[in-house]
Amino acid sequence: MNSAFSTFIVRRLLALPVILIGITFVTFLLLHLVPGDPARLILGEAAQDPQVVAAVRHEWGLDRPLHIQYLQYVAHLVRGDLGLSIRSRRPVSGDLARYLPATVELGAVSFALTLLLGIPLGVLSGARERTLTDHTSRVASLLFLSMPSFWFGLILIYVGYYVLGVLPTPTGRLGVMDVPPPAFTGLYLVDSAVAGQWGLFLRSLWHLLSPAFVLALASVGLVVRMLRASMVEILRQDYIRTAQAKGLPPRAVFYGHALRNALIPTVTVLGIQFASLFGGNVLVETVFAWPGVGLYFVESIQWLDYAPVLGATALIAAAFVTVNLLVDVSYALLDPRIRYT
Amino acid sequence: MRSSTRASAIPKAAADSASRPTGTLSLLVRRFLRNRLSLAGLMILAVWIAVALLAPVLAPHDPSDVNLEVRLLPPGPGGWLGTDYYGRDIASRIFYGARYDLLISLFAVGVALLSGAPIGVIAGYRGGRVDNLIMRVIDVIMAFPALVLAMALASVLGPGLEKAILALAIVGMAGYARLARASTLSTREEVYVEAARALGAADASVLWRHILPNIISPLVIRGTLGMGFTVLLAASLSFIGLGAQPPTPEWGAMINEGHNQLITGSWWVSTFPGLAIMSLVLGFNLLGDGIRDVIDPRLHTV
Repeated sequence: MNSAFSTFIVRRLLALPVILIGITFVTFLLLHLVPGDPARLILGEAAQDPQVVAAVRHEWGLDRPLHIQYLQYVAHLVRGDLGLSIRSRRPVSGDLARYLPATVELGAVSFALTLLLGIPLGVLSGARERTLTDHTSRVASLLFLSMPSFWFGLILIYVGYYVLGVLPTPTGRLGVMDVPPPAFTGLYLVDSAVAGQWGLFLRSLWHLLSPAFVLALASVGLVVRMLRASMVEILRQDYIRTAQAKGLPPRAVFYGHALRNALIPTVTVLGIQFASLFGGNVLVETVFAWPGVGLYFVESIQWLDYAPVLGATALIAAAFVTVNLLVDVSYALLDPRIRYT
Repeated sequence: MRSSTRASAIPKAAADSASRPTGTLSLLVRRFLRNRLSLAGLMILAVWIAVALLAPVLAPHDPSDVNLEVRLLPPGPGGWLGTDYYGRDIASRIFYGARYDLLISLFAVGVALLSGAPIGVIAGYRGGRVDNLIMRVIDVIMAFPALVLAMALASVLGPGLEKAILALAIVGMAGYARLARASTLSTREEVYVEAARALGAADASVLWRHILPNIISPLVIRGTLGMGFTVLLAASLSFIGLGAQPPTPEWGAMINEGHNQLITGSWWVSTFPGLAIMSLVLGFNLLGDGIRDVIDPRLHTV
């Protein structure tokens, strides 16, 4: 590991806390943009009693100058205190912890689908340029990128569940009659496997597939376009012709020379997609009644329940930057040609 | 052009350099027209713009005409795209809706571009502390997934079209600023910019004559693709009840109004507005791709 590389990693790691502080600054500003008294927002329904309101106002420093208020706000965040939800009457942080596993599980499965669908389609499209396969997959990927995912989710539910009856009920992570597996990680796939409840494992996978598929489609569109472009470009390079001319079997040229190089730019796109799958799924969760952070976020918006809105916003953004950073660093490890600037 | 060949050398050179931009432009236009996909994008957009302008002529009914006797009619003689829960004609609502979806995105992208680009140019051109500060703010805004920040902003600002536009503009701004900064940075180091500076050109004139022409094309490409993305974001906002409010015939709001009727089998209420969104976004994506292929010669062989 050379010094330029270590400097790159250290610089990226040092930038993270700065951005995290910036995120708290944005949510603090948002909290003050909400019409009304922030103390009432933090307290929710308990805001009936003026004495309680005064106490909270003092505790959160709302009777102090703005910069002190901000420091108090950060102090609460650091302790995991994100205020109270009007709707659930519970602390926002506890709610978020309960909803997070569903979001992580959905994001992970949908990322797996992105890889499973996007990479073969993109490679096929690039290797068979200007054939019917290529045209079909290009048009399809453009359509995937252009449609509203929440709308496609509704259509899928309508056709797959109401009309054909082949897809599971859109009731979230399991059917109405199912009992969740004993909580261990909160990820139903893992928990049911650990408990040896394989029927439950299959049912929760079955419920995961439709929302994960809908969520994956836009990323699939991006990956196909990206991979196709780099495959087409690389298959025209001299070193491919050289490899073919010296008699390497086509399979070896394809996998060893073409695909390996074509995947490099795609890995960056995949990294961004990986991060955004955890934050970009708010509407897909809503449509499928998937009890994750996104559904919690959207329902809180509709209830004008601002403490959870801002708490979820902060959590999603923090996860998004952190995952992005990890992807950047691992990408730098994978590709020795990357410039550490 | 022919008459100038007889004149002295100086006017000829001037005439030549004046004719070059149109020459390049016509080359670009020809290259653009050769690409069938980008032509298709242009046509889709032209159709939607025509529909938006001619909505009063094209629409068979008033978009907010409630008629409970004809509610939830399937596509057919009662209306070619059917009627919704309140008996409103869906085709008419989609025609009028084109106005809202086009205008929301146009304003949001316009505000984002016109405020973001100058910020980025200043950051890139000045460098140093100003640049550092601006870039950190941009980093923070871009740390939020676009949809989540747009929703959080729109929710604290409250419902309404103008607020949705403002939220979308703030979310979009950072991207244009970052792009303008990057282009400015790479242009700033060019020899001709250095030469202009050495000759004593003022900052304003360097920015206007040398930097601006070089940063416009990436911004136009991003802006066109950004229009499509913004249509999706705007529809997402109104789908959850932010942004356009009922009975506004905005497409995302229409999907929301229809989604409870899916259970009863009235699929057409949500389906058609969704197709409208998809075609409009597709148009912007195709056009943006086409412009990028034309302007960026490195990519246009692919």
